[in-house]
Amino acid sequence: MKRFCSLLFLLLTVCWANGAAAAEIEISAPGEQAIPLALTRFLPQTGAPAPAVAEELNAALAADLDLAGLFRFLDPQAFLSDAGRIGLFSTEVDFDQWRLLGAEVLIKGVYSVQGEQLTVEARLFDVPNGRLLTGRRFVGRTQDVRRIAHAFADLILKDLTGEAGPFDARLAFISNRSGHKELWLMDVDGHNPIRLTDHRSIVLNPDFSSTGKELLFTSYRAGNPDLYRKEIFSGGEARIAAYSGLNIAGRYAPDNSAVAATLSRDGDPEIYLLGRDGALRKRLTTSFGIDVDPSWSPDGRQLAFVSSRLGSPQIFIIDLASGAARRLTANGKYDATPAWSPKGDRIAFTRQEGGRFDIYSIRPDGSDERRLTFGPGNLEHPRWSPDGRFLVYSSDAGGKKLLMVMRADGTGARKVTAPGGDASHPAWSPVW
Amino acid sequence: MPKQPRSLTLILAVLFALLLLAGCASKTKPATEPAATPPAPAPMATTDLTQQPVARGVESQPVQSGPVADHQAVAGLTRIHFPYNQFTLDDTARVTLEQNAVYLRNKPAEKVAIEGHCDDRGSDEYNLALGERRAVAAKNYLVSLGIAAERLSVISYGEEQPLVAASNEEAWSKNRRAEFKAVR
Amino acid sequence: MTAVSLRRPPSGVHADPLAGRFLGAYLVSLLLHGLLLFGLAGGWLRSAPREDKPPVYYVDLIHKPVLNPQAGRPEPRVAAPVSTPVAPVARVEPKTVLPSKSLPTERKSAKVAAGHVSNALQKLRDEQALQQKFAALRQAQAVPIETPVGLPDARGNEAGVTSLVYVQAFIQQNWALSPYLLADPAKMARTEAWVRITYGKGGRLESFRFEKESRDPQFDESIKRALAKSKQLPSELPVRLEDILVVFNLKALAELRR
Repeated sequence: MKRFCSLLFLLLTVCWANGAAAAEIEISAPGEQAIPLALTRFLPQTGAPAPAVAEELNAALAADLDLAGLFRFLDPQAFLSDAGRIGLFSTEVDFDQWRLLGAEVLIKGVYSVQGEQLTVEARLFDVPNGRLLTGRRFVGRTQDVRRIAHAFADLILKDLTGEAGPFDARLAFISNRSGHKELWLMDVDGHNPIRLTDHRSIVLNPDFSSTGKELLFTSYRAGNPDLYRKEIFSGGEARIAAYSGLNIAGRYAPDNSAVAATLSRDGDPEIYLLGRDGALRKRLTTSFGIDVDPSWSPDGRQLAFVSSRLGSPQIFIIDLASGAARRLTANGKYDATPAWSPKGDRIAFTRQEGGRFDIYSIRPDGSDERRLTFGPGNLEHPRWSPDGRFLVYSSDAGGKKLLMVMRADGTGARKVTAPGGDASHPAWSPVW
Repeated sequence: MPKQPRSLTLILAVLFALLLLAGCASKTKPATEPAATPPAPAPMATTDLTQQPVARGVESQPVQSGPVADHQAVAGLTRIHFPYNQFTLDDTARVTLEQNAVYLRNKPAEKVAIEGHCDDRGSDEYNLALGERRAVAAKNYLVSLGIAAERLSVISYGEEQPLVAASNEEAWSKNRRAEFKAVR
Repeated sequence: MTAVSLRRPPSGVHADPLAGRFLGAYLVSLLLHGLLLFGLAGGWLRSAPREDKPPVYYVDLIHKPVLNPQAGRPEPRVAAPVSTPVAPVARVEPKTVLPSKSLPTERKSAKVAAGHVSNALQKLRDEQALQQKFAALRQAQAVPIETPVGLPDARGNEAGVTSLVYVQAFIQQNWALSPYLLADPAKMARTEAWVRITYGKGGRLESFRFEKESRDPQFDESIKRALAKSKQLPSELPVRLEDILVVFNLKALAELRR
């Protein structure tokens, strides 16, 4: 009987221990969905102050960090005396001042201009814990000031999220600024545009290789839409696919080993696998309808593409190994230009509804379709930033075609192209 | 030879960029002296758009006039039009094509490029494909009427060359077309 | 068989050893089942009311933390008594309400041509009908709701909130986390970290330790920053809060962004 009693006791205590509600708090959402950031003005370290340089540094950095969406910028008007002091080490910063303002992260930095050379030291501090998070010294020329700001923005994202930002990169796009549709390259924020081609014909649909050193595009230069490959730094250019009919929408495989493109050499626009030199490897689609616009999955095993095999253009996914294709989107009447995110978790595309294109995204299994934009104008050609955080796309709201960038969830949309000509067909390079 | 200094500056710029990156990568040690490379002008800063008629490409041949100017519209050949997002030939198009076939039969030496075009609604690449299907449809019908296939070539411009640069129903219906151009 | 032979000596009281053994086993089984049932039921009974707790609608830091906060919402909503007299007035004597509410409109309508007067009157009548509808709606809304609005576990008579609620609101206010910081936003609803904290009576955060870390380093970092900001409560506590478990997750945020 004693044994039973002790067993009973044990069981009861277990029950009690389970049931007795230990004091517990649940906090199911942060009080604020953005990190309060104090971005101080960069200060001259040695030599004469160059307000224009500091201005440009701060503006480029602020624009990048604003697009990132992580931060709430504290009003610089409220900054106290520490904002005017150089502080490159945590011991030199008066964190209490920043705690008072509610800042959680603090950016401080100095610059010095010596002739053509620009040196920038930038720091990111954790205010509540009073410690240095990251910092770097950049040396360049005075005209590299925006690049330095972009590189630091990338570094900040790297430190805070574990993944670097995509700002020190380039956008390739098509512009008719010179009178013809040519291939152009510019910074991610629309600065420093340069023209890469002079075909004086029609150039379309660029795509970066994953090294970022090569571009693939379509040009009518030789009187037919042919596929060209261009090395950005050497300027070397070669026509790689000039089969009869269309040679369009070329896309590098994620490992650069192959190219997927639409050819109509067999009389019907179909998707083919080509070598990097344009050599024909395999025909991937065989439907009677139009098959265009391939986009690789990041593992290189599948392709999303547009097909009219069911009448209107819809997005399908083909498995390269088995050749089996399945329909991805089921809701739209006209879906086009799929772009598989570099993380692989979503596919962005455009859908025409009511005579207008908007950008949507969907999981590769066809679930969780989301509409990201709500006009105005036609919003087309979505392409991902190399980190999958942002989408660049073209818009024709207001008559002119221009490029826009937004976060992958559709927020924070903003223009990126400087005025002058129409810009379309963007592609975001890997980090430079 | 305006090409060589360009590529030289480009190479220098690349070298410089690499050096800059190397400098960025080392946080503790002083940054690599950029003096190792002569101060080359940045590629972005010096690009003069108006004074660069020659492509920086490897195959930088003198630029020929564009393909559009190559082909002249043929007086006896009438363009045909298509319904939205379709490449089927309606009765009007068939009648026009039959007249075109008569003209082509009378001029057996003439070679013709059939251009397929679309209106500006729709995705660019899809429209390139659609334009080609339109041109091919026209070609096939002409071939069925006895015109030799070798005389007919096909090219699609998608929505790149609208007949009427406007966004309304009238312009769209005019832009959805196949044109017949003489090949020299 | 060995178990049987071992059991024999204690159960030897009965004449039939086999029946005694069965009875013993039966009793043991009965007792154990009973205990199990009791334990489960007890646990369920104790946990059930916690799940049925009405939601906390708002918590503010204006109230100081007290030992015995007031329970719930003793009086009905304020809207009810106010809106009920409005409705009958509007219904019984519409014309008295009419001029007082729309004096400027009437003056204007007097100035314009006579043909417009009837128009204006019609407009006013429409407006009045709308007002009556609003009043009716308000009345329907003002039906007393059974759910208490105040603190769920409040029993006492002091004005204020419990220490736990106070601490919860304070830490939450100090917690800043952007969804863009998360390593995998798709797993937002499942990201969770448990932290044990101890606040002294003076309101100082004496210690905290992670009992369970989330798999997202940025999420954990943001909690550390929030706790660093919550080192000192703005007010003293009535009791020392020892080893309080704080569960940080993003369920509400995930719900919001769905």
